[in-house]
Amino acid sequence: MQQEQFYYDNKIVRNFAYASIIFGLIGMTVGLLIALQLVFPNLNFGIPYTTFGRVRPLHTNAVIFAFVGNGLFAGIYYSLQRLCKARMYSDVLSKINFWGWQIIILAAAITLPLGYTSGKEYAELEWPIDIAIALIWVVFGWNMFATILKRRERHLYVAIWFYIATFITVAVLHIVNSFEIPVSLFKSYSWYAGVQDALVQWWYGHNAVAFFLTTPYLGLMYYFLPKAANRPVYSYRLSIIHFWALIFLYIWAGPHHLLYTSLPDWAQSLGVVFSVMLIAPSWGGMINGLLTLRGAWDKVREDVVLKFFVVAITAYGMSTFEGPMLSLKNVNAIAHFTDWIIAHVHIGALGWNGFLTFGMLYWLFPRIYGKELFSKKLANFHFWIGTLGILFYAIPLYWAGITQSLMWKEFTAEGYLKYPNFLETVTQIIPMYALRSLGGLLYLIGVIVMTYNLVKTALSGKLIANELAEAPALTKVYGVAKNEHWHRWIERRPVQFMVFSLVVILIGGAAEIIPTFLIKNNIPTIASVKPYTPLELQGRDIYIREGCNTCHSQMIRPFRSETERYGEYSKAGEFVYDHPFLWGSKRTGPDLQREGGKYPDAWHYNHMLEPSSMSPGSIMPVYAWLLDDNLDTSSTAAKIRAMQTVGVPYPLGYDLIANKDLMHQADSIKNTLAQSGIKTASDKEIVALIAYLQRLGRDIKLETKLN
Amino acid sequence: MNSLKKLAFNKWLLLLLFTFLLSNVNAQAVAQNAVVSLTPNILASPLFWVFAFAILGLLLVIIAIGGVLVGLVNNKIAKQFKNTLPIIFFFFILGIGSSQAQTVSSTVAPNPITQIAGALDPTTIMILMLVVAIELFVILYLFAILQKMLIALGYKTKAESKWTYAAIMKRMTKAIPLDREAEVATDHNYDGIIELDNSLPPWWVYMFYGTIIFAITYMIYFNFFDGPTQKMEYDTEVAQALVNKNEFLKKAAASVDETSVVSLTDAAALAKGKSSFITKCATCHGQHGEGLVGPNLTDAYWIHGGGIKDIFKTIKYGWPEKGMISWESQIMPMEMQQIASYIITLKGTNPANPKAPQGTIYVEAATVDTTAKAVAIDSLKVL
Repeated sequence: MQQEQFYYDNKIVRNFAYASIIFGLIGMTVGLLIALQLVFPNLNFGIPYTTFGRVRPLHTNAVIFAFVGNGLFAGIYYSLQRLCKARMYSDVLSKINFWGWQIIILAAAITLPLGYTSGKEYAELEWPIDIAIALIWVVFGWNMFATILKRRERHLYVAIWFYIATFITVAVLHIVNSFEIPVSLFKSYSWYAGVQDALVQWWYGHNAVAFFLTTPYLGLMYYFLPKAANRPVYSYRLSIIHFWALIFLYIWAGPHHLLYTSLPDWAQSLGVVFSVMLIAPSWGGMINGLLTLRGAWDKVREDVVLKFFVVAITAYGMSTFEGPMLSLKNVNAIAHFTDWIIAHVHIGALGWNGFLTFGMLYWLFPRIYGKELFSKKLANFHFWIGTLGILFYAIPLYWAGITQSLMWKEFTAEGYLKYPNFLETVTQIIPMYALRSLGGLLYLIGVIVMTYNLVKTALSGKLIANELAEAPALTKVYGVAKNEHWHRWIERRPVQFMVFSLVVILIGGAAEIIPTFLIKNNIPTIASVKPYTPLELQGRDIYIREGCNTCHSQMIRPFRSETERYGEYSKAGEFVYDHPFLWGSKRTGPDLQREGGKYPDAWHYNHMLEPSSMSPGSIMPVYAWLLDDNLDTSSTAAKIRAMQTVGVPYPLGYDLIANKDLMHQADSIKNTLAQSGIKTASDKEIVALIAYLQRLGRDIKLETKLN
Repeated sequence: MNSLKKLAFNKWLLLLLFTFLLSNVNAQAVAQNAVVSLTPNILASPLFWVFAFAILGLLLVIIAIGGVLVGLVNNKIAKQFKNTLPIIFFFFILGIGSSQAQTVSSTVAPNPITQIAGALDPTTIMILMLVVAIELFVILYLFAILQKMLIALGYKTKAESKWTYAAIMKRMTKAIPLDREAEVATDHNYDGIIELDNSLPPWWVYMFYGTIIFAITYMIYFNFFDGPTQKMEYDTEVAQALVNKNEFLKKAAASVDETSVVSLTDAAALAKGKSSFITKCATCHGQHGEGLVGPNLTDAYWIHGGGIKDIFKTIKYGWPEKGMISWESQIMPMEMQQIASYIITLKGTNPANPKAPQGTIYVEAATVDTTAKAVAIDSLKVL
């Protein structure tokens, strides 16, 4: 058979690899900063752009979409070409993919600190950037798929199955979750409200973990692990079963982020059981990886790449066992809203994604630069300090999470909360926060050492930008072997493969989301719940801009310990005008769902100026700029119109007179503040924020009064 | 590396992995215990006692086999088994540990509850089952060692035994030895990566089936049968708490309320009142009661009355529209009494930076109308 010669594109791999390293360094440094802010609140430097609520999304976006994102592109661009025995379909598309992605990251890095956010976790970026992401993602998929179509390898290897599922599912998730109505260039409201918004958001959020952090990395594992170990993959049929089971089951599990919330019980149950069923398919990937190392364990002791891989796969196994356990409602009752979840996530992030990326980079650089790794010693140092970093990160946070949760729930014999002051439960765990920062620092030092090592390697060699390879072209006809495995059929047909995986992933999402939208009694309406006033709406947008929801939940779960502390538990009908929902996922501070009327206006004013003046020992940062900055009321009309479009029943033409109501309400707040001796103008942002905070949870109090 | 070294390495790795797994399970058990202490019902369940006896019984079996093994090792033989000693020891510790966990969880579990007596929630059942499963596994493992020893001692021949460790592992993993790998190799080759086609490990398949059965049972129980909804769980929890609270209050000394409260004068009570005041009231009323956001508590003027009963009532129910929050759910009556008594002592202390008077002069012994006699606040005097 005639061999064809062609060249692999290594330059694009190098570019993505460098981008991953650079953004890894930045993202982790930002992570360290916000970790330290929880111990030293002053580290927000008193300016909006570096304050926790805005910087935390910057950290998550940077490590997920920039560090891991560029990492998975680097790995896919390297392995796909070799598994298809073909150069990438188009160098131009590769470049658009690369530069487009970096511009998106840059846009995120600018807009997030400026406070432009949709308020939805892991989907914070505003609508113009959302559109850009969709376009670049399609470019990536196009490039990948065209490469697959011109391949010189008859069948698709399991790694490519995972790449295809990744592409198609992330596209669906991103588009569905990003339905939003623009108000201005940098402001939009989620199309969905309340419970529905929450369900869609966590269907997305959970599967961002599944299809951005897990499936592509499993694909990378299936390529780089057998390569590095020089061992055959353990079981082909295990690959088949665990691949299809994983993508089918994963998509259902989103509601486990919303256990004991106002989500209907049936949807919660689905979230529980599908999470439990996920253990086996997830572990299928782990055992196929670990058993591939059968007969190569002696190498693991010497080869640093394999060491990274083994810890990565083990961390994957640990967090995919822990995940289903956390999805059990009674474990979740303890763990949710605490640092336990942060620890859990970082076992996956630092262990699985981080270590797999590092192992891959240590393997890649010598090969694309044609030079041995600069220093094995330094790489080993990185491995050990990284592992130590993970331990120092996770263990204190597990401790902190369980401690704080038990404190929240403890009652005295007289029937009172043992720790009625939320702050007590925070100050208790601050030493754990400090230890966690140390863990993060160790991990970051490891990455800095790696960067030095890899740069040195690159400088000592020369990039093999175009690597020569040869393979015979595919023949038109293919004689199917008689005893061939049934699954080989679809492995020859990428289009059918994509369509079939699309169908498989759509089932779960559709089964959960559609009924929640269509069946009325899923969200019982409450007559006393009314739309926000214009001033409250503006205040809510300030709340979103400052990222208050990163530390404060607005979801009182039906537990005695929560209703005692915060008031009546949350009802689905209370959130029907919340575009987006603001339930939050972490209580670094107390829940705010029933904050309205709890404290006087003056309390909030002083609290924003200097939180520790009202709550001594508070780790909440200072929000002094809210007292000085003027509220932009020019946006009110557009906001009201946008809300009307998504179905909030403001009267026709209300957009034109909304500002009159706004000023009226603002003046009355100014007056109550004046009575407490606080002089402020009524057009300050703080006034709007106070209006919103004082509204929170009030509607249902009205209801109980009426009854 | 020679094969002997490899074997030792693998063994330790296995032990490490296993310890990790167990510690994980232990962590789960701890979490579970915490839940148990919050949902007080398990002692009423007959199922729980069945499990408890099963767990205890299996534990005895473990100890018995362990004892036989230790006896064999000590008495007779075979240096080759010396290195299994730490493993046996490990299981001993584990056995003792879990028996302690048992006693702990039984002591923690409080009052039985009437509504869902006899029912165990699925997770408790699952955890209990997990404990049983681990014990069975341990027994199997110890039994396998025993078999091996008996073979080594010549009591038994190898062919008879299906219960050696190796035989069990083989059945549960269906792994083909490395040197026979060619038998399961496929002709797949991707960029040099070869695929074997080993059987699915049976333990993994059973686990998958197990989770599917759990899922179906769970969905049916909670969505079609009488599995409690979260609202029912909540109502039960609150009802039980009320029962507990009332029982406690009956036993405890009569609780004070706004009709019975009297001013305390002993130094200890006032000191307690002062420290509570500083942690809870001072942020709004000042360290010395001089007034900040809240009114001055040291002058003769009161908005809602300055008698002990008035102050107690103000603390308890608050005046939310004026910004005074209700502390009823946060401060015990006794503590409110101490705080109110301390506030009474502040009168006339003339601290620095006093806030201007608000309200009217309060006259002792007068029948004070505490129901919000709206007193205009002199906005000129403020600041």
